[in-house]
Amino acid sequence: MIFDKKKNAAVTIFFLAGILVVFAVFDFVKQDIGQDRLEQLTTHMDYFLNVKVVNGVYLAEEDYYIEQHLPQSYPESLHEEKLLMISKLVEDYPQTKVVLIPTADNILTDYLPWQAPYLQERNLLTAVEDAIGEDHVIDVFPAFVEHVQEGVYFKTDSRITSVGAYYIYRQWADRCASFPFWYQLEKLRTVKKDFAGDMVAAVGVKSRVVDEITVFPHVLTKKATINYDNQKWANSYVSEGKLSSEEPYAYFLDGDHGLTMIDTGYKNGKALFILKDSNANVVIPLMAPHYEKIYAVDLRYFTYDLKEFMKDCDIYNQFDVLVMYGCDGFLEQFEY
Amino acid sequence: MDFASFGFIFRFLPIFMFLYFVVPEKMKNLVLFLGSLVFYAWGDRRILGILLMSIVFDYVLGLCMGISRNIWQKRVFLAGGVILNLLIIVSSHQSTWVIPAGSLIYGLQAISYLAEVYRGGVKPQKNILRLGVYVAMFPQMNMGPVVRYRDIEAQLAKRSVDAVRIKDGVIRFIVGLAKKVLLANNICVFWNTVVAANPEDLSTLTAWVGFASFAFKILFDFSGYADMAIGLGQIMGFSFKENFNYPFIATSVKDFWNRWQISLSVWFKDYVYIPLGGGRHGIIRKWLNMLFTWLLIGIWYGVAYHYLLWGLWFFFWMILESSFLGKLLDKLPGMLTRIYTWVIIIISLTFFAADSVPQAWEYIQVLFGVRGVGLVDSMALFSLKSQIILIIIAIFSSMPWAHIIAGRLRSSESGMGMALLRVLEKLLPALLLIVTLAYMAKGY
Repeated sequence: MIFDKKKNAAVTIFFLAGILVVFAVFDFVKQDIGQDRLEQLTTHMDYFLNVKVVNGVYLAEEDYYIEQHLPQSYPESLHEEKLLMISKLVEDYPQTKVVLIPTADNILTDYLPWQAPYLQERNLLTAVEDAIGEDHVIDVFPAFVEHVQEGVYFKTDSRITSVGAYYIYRQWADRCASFPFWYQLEKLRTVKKDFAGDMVAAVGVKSRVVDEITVFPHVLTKKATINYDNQKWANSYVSEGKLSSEEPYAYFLDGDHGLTMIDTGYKNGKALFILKDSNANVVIPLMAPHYEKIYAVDLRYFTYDLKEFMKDCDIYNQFDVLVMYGCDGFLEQFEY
Repeated sequence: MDFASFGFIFRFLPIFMFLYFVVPEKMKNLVLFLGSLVFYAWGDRRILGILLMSIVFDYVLGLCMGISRNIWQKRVFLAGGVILNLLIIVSSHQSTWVIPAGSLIYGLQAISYLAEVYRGGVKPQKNILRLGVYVAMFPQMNMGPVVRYRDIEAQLAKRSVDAVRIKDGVIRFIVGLAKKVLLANNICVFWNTVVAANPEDLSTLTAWVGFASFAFKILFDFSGYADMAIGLGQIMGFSFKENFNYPFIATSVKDFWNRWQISLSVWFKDYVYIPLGGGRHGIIRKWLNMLFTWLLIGIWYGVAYHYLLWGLWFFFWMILESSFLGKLLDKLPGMLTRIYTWVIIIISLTFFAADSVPQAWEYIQVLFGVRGVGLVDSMALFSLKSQIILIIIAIFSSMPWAHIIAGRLRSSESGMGMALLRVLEKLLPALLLIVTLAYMAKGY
């Protein structure tokens, strides 16, 4: 022993007390308040170290958390593969239209850290136009650039806001619809004020700002008959319960489902088949007035054979076909 | 179990240290041995059987060698022990459940014991518990240092601890933990991006910065674990030798290997190169012995062709330096020789980091601008700018400047320096620990 026998009891008590302190510190660290304090410390350290990217997220200007898309993560071979697929789809269904939504790093370039690399999605769009023809492509890039200050992107989430959805809808409606539905941006209603998006979870530290989730009143009031994956039924385009869940963005169309079938209640005999990712969940409700039926497929969770399914539904004869993805989602998820 | 984990720091370590210090002197080895078994079993209980079996086997072989008077019999016993422990080392590369990464250290230490007994340098250990403590004690099992049996034999029987040693050991452990969590884990962020990309999508500058990041990462990983091992050893009364001596200030490849994983290169020199004859039988034999030794070092790091090439690479430069290049380097300015050494090290890392020989060759081509997307791209510029402070801290930490500054403060005449040093010695470890725990919690 390091002390003589007379101090054995003192040493034992000292170490026991030390263990209690250590265990108490550990428990403190594990609790939320402890985690918050430690996260604040690491945030300060990251700012001191001039860290600009954390877990694939740029810590950009104006408190934007912008998802990083490195060019080397999307090689040329992947581009070519997707171009072949989209060409095949257009060949089978000439009515197909394609909307590729730019990711925030392509539009908010001024906010990115100096020399931050990002995938040049404009080139992808040009390649798609060359592959299938400009008539089949609805370019939303200029609208996003023009209206970026209006908040087309969340600060803490990788997906688009209702404002972004509105401008996508307008571009689409100008090309494809007989009339644009009269949505008014100034009438947007806030349904959640403290939205911390998926980028916050990726970074692991709370942002200094939070976002708001907004929705057009028409989307709230208009009832529809919606079936999710042949299992769940709903009569609204929004799921109120999801606002307090871990994934509040699932408020729109109940989040990610492989197959969403919507009976809009509008009787015009028209139908839409849309291949999509999560971004389209905000846009689809805006398109509802133009269709009697909408079939929305998210290939990540779709368990049927797509081509067979499209044949069975007689998509060729009955439906408009739309491909709506974020540019990253198109390269990562689109399959035909 | 990882030293840099909450489970180790807040659960295993306090309970172990409590038990270690309250038991009588004669029971400390038992506590250390059982604690080491718990340490391994925390990861996978299946390894305990093999560990205990090999300890018994080494113990019996050592005793047999001690009893035997026949040199050939001794050689057979030694060969058996070496083969068993080599099998453990090789199989740990193939399957992590056999014994975790610690088996790489364990195997070398077991062979060290058997070799020392064979040579007659030490007597066979009759106390199986002491042998078990030597080969299996947990502090250096993560990444070294490799402790030679003769360096620790006396400490297994008797060791002393005082408050100063404990304090120094705690500080050393905290410094090692900080190196691992704050430096290694953060500086490798850019390297992770580089290694995830195809080599042909990298620019030359990105490749150089990426491999430099990788070099710092493995330095702070290995030296951080070594510091933690040495610190834990100090707390328990052991004195382990230093394993790193600022390798990135080396002025030649030979100098580098005198500073990098020192215990490993000493082990291979003592138990492979010298028994093969070293340089005592002419130049050709010397080169062959060196070649074999370097190939073995490569295999120790990994059983794959690119690790063999890594060993060959260093063998090549060691030969050159021992012939004419060394004399030339002695005449050159230190900055030039350091750049030369850095280039050799960076190229060696292409073999180390690659999954295959062709991929290593692709990396080398990118490093020299033959392949890739050009000399500079935005990725390299962005990473340099966003990591510049971390890079400066990494460079500072890899140099002996902290020791030099501490020495100047200690020897300052006014007394202010000493006072400042005393404050820093108390304040800095505490701050380091808090920040390190914060980063551990972030990734917890």
